[in-house]
Amino acid sequence: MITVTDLDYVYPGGQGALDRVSLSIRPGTLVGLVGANGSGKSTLMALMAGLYTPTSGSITVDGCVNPGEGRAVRAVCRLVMQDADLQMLGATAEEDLLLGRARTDATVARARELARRFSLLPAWERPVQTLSWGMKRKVCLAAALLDDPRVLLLDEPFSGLDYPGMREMRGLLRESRAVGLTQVVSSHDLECFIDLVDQLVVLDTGRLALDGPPDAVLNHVRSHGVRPPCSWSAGQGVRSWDEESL
Amino acid sequence: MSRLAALVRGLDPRLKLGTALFLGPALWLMGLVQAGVCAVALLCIVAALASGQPLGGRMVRGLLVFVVFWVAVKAGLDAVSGMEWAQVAAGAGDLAVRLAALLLLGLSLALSASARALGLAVAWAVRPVAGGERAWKLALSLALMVHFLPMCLATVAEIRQALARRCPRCGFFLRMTVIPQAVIRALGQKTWNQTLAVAGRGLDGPQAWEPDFSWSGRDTRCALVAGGFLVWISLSLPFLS
Repeated sequence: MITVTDLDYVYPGGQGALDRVSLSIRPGTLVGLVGANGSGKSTLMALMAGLYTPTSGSITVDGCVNPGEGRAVRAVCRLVMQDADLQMLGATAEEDLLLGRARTDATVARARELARRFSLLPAWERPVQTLSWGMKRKVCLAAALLDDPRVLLLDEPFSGLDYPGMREMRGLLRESRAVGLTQVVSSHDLECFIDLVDQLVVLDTGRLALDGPPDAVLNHVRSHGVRPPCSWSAGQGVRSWDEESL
Repeated sequence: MSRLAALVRGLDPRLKLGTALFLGPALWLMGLVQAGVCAVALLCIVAALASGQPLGGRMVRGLLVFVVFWVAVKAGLDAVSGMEWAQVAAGAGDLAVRLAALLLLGLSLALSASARALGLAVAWAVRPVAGGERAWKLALSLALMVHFLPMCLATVAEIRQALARRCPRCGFFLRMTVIPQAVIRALGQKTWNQTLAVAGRGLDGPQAWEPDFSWSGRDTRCALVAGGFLVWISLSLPFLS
């Protein structure tokens, strides 16, 4: 689904962000993209979403190659960024979900159905500034899913969420995985989602440090500025949360 | 009150924008009685709209402070220039009524229509003149601008708070040096991220900004009422009377 080949990215100011990154992601997998702050996670996500053009190398997403087909890449990917306030342009949850779509009965019904799944219906007509942080994140995620993307890119989706919010977000990730959506989830903390991950990619100062199934990678993450999950450090392997089923 | 708010919110944004575009300049030209009637009517509408908004009360208070400040400035300058007290009071009252009505008009528009709806209404109006390409860019620009204003205010407030905590004894001139720099830095980052967010959501194309208005019978009835009201006001305009 996604192939990254010898990717370099240097910001216009001359600051290098990614250095010869290569990796491959199969369709329907849930990929954990982790690394310390400044390791290049958000930059790689923006490149995968077709929002930046690689300085050198290429990214192929669902057959569309960037550089060259950045707009086509953007059509198949949806990136949900960390700051929900910047992504919400609608005045209410309803208006934000229907932003950029023809307001047909079918579209409204689909948006309402998604809002019901995300427990957003009570906030359907509420002004967005009155929503909690977690609800705003869910509106952004719902808006992304309404576009029927082939690839969903979530930048730090767990940051700022309380425990119930994290559990809800985990449930949404599981649901999307069950329907075969390819997901890339960035985080600097493995604890909240490692048990859901099929493939773990670790970045370290712009370079690909590790890439593989979590069991094969977790023993080496600490040296790249990432803390292994507690259960792993305690020798109990990767454990699912509470009574949640994988 | 809530029925009035629901009625105003439910109206077609093109009707609201058109009325505001006519009424705004007319408020400076119409008779004082008509301006007073407009101010009272708009106050009722704003009170109804603001009652359901978390920041509504604060916005109305801010508006009143703004009016009082400028009326006081005008009255002070008039008094200093040697005008009679009766004239000073009449001038201050005139400005208070017109300025309050104008600000209430803007507030009622902001509280009753979203940034996106207003952007689409403007784009719909200019599409025949400016063409489709410019029209959707205008809609996006307006939506972003209106969306960004409260964010700017919140950023300024946060930076002022941070400076007050970190440097409680710093003087006015130091604050005036530090705050603008910090605000520009913070907003620069937000602007860049918001640009990415707009592109990431696929809102950077004409298809995302196609107007989807639906004109109802209620809009027609309200348009007739508003039209009659505007005709009554027009009769007091100096170049028509």
